[in-house]
Amino acid sequence: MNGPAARRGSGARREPPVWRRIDLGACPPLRAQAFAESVAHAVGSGEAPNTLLFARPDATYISLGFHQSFAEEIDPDFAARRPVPVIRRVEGGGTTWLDPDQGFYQLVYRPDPDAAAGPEELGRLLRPVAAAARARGVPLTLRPPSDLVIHGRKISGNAGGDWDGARIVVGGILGRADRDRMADLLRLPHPGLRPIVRAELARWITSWAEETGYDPDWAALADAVAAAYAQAGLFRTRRAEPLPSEEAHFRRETVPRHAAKAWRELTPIPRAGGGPTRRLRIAGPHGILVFPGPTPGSLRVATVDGAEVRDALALGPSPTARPRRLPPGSPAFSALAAAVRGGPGFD
Amino acid sequence: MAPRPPEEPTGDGPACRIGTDLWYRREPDGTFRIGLTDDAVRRAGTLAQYRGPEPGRTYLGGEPAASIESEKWVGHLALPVDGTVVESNPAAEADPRTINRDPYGAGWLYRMRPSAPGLLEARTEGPG
Repeated sequence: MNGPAARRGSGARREPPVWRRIDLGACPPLRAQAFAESVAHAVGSGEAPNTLLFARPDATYISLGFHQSFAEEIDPDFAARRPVPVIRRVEGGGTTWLDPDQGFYQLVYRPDPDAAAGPEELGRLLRPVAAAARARGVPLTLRPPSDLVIHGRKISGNAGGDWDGARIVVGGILGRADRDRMADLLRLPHPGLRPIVRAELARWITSWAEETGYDPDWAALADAVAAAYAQAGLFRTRRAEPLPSEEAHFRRETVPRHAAKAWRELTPIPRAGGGPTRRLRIAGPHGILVFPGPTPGSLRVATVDGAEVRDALALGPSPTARPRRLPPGSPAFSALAAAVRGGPGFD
Repeated sequence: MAPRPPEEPTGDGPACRIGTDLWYRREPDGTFRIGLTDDAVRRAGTLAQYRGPEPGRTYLGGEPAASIESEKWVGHLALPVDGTVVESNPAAEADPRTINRDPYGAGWLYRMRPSAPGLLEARTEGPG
């Protein structure tokens, strides 16, 4: 080895790189969700350095994961009653209800060609967020690959994606959790599923206010997150405003793309037969799987932890039918458990 | 996982590799079948989503055309060279774990016709 690094010796501490820090503050949903895509364009092209953004939406909206289709995910009655914006993000994951009680952090960076994207990278970038909350007395931990949890209940969902030559990791802390709206917006094959979804969300989703009795101080939390990245040796931050070119790209490319019906709604892909008719991840390994029942229109419903069935329920075809519990050990329970084990589960 | 011939006799030779992520195999009709290498599949993890390129559409080489998702991470796959997509694999789209199970066979991604002869072959870096 030659050069300064060799002369310093292996014990020399490397200074962490400097990233830009942009605080967008409370802003319209599309800016809060998708301005990072225009930042990615600048970062990917080398025009801007790696960037940490903070933002909060100033209004409610629904965000779909990149591969999700509006028609499959959103309840049409809810969409008619609550015409909030629906934004399909470029990152992965599921449908989420977002509102001003949530604070976002977004990392946009040029990928290290030697580092694979995915769970390991998500973990590396999310642990400092948990550390920042812990420094403020709130005991967040990372549940790999991408959830921040308190005592097993999710308080922050996170996802990533490659976009325009950069990588984007986005996440948000739930200051408060409007679980009823989260349950109401989802398209479900039977009205009797709605109370089950609500109950599972209550079981597995929490919020800052619920855990602490007070709302987060978003500005102080952003400072703590930035400090935690420096403390972890990943990067230091320098405050900056968006570049004019990023603003222009947002107006000319990002906003029109998101306004296009084909982008927003995404044609569903036909799925393989034999699997669940609806698969709802509630949080991490916890979810709900819905299968066709033994009679036309009837359903079998499993609340699932990983690949294990916690509760098995039967729903009749009538819209007013109420769920009936299937006793553990019964043939119907066992058949449902076998169907769950045969599928992807929620590992 | 060792590369192996596809389940159906669709090619006239072994798969060839482009970069670390893609393999191709020439089809009897002159098109090329494209898939992910076992190394790329291993790095991606269990795939939850695959959306293929649009059949009939002409893409530039390097232009993102398809996407995969695993563990809440979305990755975009570019066509390796300029060309027109002939078919996207419906079985892989319907159940992306097909790509994990059989990346050189039933889990192929799409078929394409390069815009000029020899384009793909010029990108060959080794056996698939």
